[in-house]
Amino acid sequence: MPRLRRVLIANRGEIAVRIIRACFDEGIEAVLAVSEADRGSLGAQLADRVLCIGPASAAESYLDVDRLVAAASVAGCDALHPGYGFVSERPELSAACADAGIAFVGPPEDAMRRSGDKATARALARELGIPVNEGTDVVSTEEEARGAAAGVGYPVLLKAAGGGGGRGMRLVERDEELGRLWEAASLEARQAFGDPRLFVERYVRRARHVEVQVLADSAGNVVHLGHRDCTLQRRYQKLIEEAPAHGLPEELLAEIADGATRLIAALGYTSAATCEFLVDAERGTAGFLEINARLQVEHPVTEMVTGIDIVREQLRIAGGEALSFSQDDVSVTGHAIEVRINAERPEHDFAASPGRLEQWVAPIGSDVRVDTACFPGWTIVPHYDSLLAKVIARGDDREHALERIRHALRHLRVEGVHTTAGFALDVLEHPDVVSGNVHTRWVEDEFMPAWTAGAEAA
Amino acid sequence: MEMSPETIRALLDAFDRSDWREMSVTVGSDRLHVSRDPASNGAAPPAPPPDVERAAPAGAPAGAAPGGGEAPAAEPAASAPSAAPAEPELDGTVIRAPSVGLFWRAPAPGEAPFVEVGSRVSAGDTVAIVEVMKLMNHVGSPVDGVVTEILVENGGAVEFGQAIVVVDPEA
Repeated sequence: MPRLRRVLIANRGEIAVRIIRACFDEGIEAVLAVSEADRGSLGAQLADRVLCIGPASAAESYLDVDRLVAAASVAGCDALHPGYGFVSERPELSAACADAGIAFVGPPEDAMRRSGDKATARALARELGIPVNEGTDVVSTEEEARGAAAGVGYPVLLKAAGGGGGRGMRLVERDEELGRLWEAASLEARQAFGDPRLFVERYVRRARHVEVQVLADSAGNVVHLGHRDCTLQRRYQKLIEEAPAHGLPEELLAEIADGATRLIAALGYTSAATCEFLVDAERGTAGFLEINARLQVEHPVTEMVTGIDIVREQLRIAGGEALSFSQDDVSVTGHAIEVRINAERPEHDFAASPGRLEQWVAPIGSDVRVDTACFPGWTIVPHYDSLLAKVIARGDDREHALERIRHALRHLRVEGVHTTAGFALDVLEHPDVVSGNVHTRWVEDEFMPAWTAGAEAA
Repeated sequence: MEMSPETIRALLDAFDRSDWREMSVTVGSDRLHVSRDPASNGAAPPAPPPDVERAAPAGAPAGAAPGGGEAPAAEPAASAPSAAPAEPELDGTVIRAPSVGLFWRAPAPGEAPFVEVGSRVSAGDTVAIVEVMKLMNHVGSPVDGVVTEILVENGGAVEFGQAIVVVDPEA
């Protein structure tokens, strides 16, 4: 099969720039689909060609599968890269590309459907003997949920069957709360994913979020690129990610990586996938959570410690090429940490802070990488998410990486909008983060109360 | 009305959650202006339109990439329009593409075009079709008048917002 010649990038912001970079490295022409609000974006300036597909509203641009595929067709593209978010995990996009004779940079429709539906993915994991976080299959009524919760034991987590990202998710501590929280979660799940069904899952206190990056080609080769730890979250949104996962038993890590690889192989999957696990660090056990059938925001930490360019591999796989390396070729060296810089005000409950970037200076360094679409004068509009940049630093070990990421954050200069950089720096200086003694609710339950009090006193 | 109640609500939400002092949004002929400043009357001009940024290089070759020898010689997609194309001054009512897609002058291949230069149209009459993935979007004239220009070739690619037909309402 011939290599790709021209790729339509159906996304915006930093990830559009990241994909353009990979296209450049692969000698592929990059065509960027933009909304009217993004005609002057960094990606639009870097792309070989730009095609305006609709107005600023995401519903009529980046979320419109027909317009995206039409743009790829009229621009003569032979592939489409969806990035993350927007329509990247919509099986109908993969199907529409196939119908139009355009290679989708992602899994085929069926593999995406099966990996995206949590119930199917979990059932498959169980069949393969991969430990799944204790919980129930999909429940459709409050009564079923009540029975399931009693079986699993409180506290439990209600989670949407149809999708992720923290939407449709509620922590239920006691039976009396179940009715109210069931209703809220189910409504939210229906609004977000068109599917009100939920899971009931045992809630692990002091849990760590560990995920495995997997790449699969169309020849059936499946390899993993090691683990990432994304435990530092706020309201189920990741804030800081690192690779590799630290301070966990080798056997447990090996078991997780092996499970992820077998799961992806069983799905007939191609391209990049991430398998998420919830790790109970005290018990030393892990349970499979879900598959993300796309490139992840936090993919750079894996690239920094393996030297493998995940987006370039995705493009080669979409062009029909086999993976350029085998599992034995993958080695993890050093440690990398990524911080998401958002245009938000942490001291005001993370309120969005759109506006014009009067100043933007990103840190530099041999082992520092900044993935961004920001430049001085660019305006952060309220139509899309608030991610300004990902600042990533690599060190010889975790301590060294922490030192470098803090140094890098101190050298980020932003004026015109508020950012989460100062907040992230405070997180990275906390003794619990330095020692690695954190869990998925640590930011909200343990860090924020003291930090907010300190911010108000200052 | 081009700005739906949902859009207005979403914009007001975004404003509420932001620390902006003022916000002004124009969609077509609708304009929304909100301010936390009691003195503001919304008379300030809206932000300049985004189409001043750049003209994309036409058909930039992929051969400039490393290992240029093996880089495929991509034929430039000559029909693909560039971003924010420099638009000549157009007199009259400019009708724009409602989406990215393909521009068709007739309801089906071999049939007579909806309009020719010189055709008289009434408001609401179809002047062209913009096809998005087999979906035929009929583009109507917003005014009574005479077609003075057809700016895209039959079957050509158009971007969202691109001028496609001009109608002179005075004629």
